[in-house]
Amino acid sequence: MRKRLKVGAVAALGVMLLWAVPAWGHHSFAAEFDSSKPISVTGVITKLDWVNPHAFVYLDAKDANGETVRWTFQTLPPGMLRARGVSRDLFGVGQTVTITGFGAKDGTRTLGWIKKIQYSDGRVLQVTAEEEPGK
Amino acid sequence: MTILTSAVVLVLASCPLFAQFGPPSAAQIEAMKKAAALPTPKAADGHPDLSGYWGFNALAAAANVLGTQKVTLDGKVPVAAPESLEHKFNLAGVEQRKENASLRPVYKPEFAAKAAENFDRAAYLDPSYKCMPLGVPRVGPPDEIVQTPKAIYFLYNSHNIFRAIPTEGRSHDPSAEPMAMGESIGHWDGDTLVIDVVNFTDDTWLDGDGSFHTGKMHVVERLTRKGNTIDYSANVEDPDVMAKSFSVRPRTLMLGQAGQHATEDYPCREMDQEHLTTNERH
Repeated sequence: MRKRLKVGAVAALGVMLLWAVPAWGHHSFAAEFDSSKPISVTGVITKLDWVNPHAFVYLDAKDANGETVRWTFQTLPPGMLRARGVSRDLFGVGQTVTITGFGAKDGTRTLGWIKKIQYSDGRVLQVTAEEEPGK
Repeated sequence: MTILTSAVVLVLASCPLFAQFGPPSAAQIEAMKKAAALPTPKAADGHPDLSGYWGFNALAAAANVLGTQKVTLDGKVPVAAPESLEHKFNLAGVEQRKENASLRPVYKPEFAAKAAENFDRAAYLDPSYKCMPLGVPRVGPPDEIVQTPKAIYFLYNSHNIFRAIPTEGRSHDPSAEPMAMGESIGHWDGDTLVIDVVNFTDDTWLDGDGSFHTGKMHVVERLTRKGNTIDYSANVEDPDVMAKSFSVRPRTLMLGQAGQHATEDYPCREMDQEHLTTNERH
């Protein structure tokens, strides 16, 4: 059976909740990422930055020429991930995964926001909601 | 407002986290009244004992509110709250705060333009976005208090902040180095702990909406324990830039469970500023 880990079935709501707290001020998703720019990248997770105000996942992927390209993916704050039951170990540094998400608004080609991570063993780490409301 | 947006706003309004910024629910008010009616513990010196965990555990609250959806094994998303909804929520929230001038200090006319620019460009200018300290009073009431006969210690869950507040009667140190959190000296006014804070740097904000101050800012915080609650207030004076004193929104804290403690926060590393394309914020 394919497992799914819903890091927040209402994760975007969770983000709003956390961002409402005065602890860590930071920008909005929409200030940096474009929900009309879906991306999907397969590669190896090489590193995790478990820092505020957002955690980052780094992925080495091959481009069309076979060259290794390092992607930087932003995700929820580490405290929010922990609250959802996601430890840093769960990301699995060294594993081959497919990350789907959204691209950067400023045109940076190797920067993205994680919607979900699909692991080779079938697990899916769903970080933000899959569907738009009303669809 | 769509039905879904309405539903999300309702969920937000009913959760303890949002309650920090909106009116508390009837159940929360009732719980607060019961806690305030309990006996107020006293320290050996006769002053109210403020020791304990008073923190609003945002992470636990979020987990609690969304707890049943923490991990599921089916492939369905029970409630979709995607980025577009966050976008709407942010825009509405910032607009409401902009219209409500009572949330911010009133500045002298010559500083009104700076305050307005700070508000409009806060995503780019907010020092805390760059991992700078929050400062007082933005840091708010402590998450844990340790009270001793000669000093009180404030611990915070966020930003790895602590404050050591002497209460044995000393005065401010005129040679003290200005700091983001200032220099705090406490004394008892009856059953109220009064904290006088001066010696600030001028590089923090009072909020996330651009309310600036000078190094001459003077903050007075008051904490009064009533049963298992603490009433917290803070008043700000900065006559070089502010037209009048400013009172931070008062808060009432509730005692946490025995054994709860403030915890270390994750480090902060700013990696977003160069990629921001709009000023949208929360």
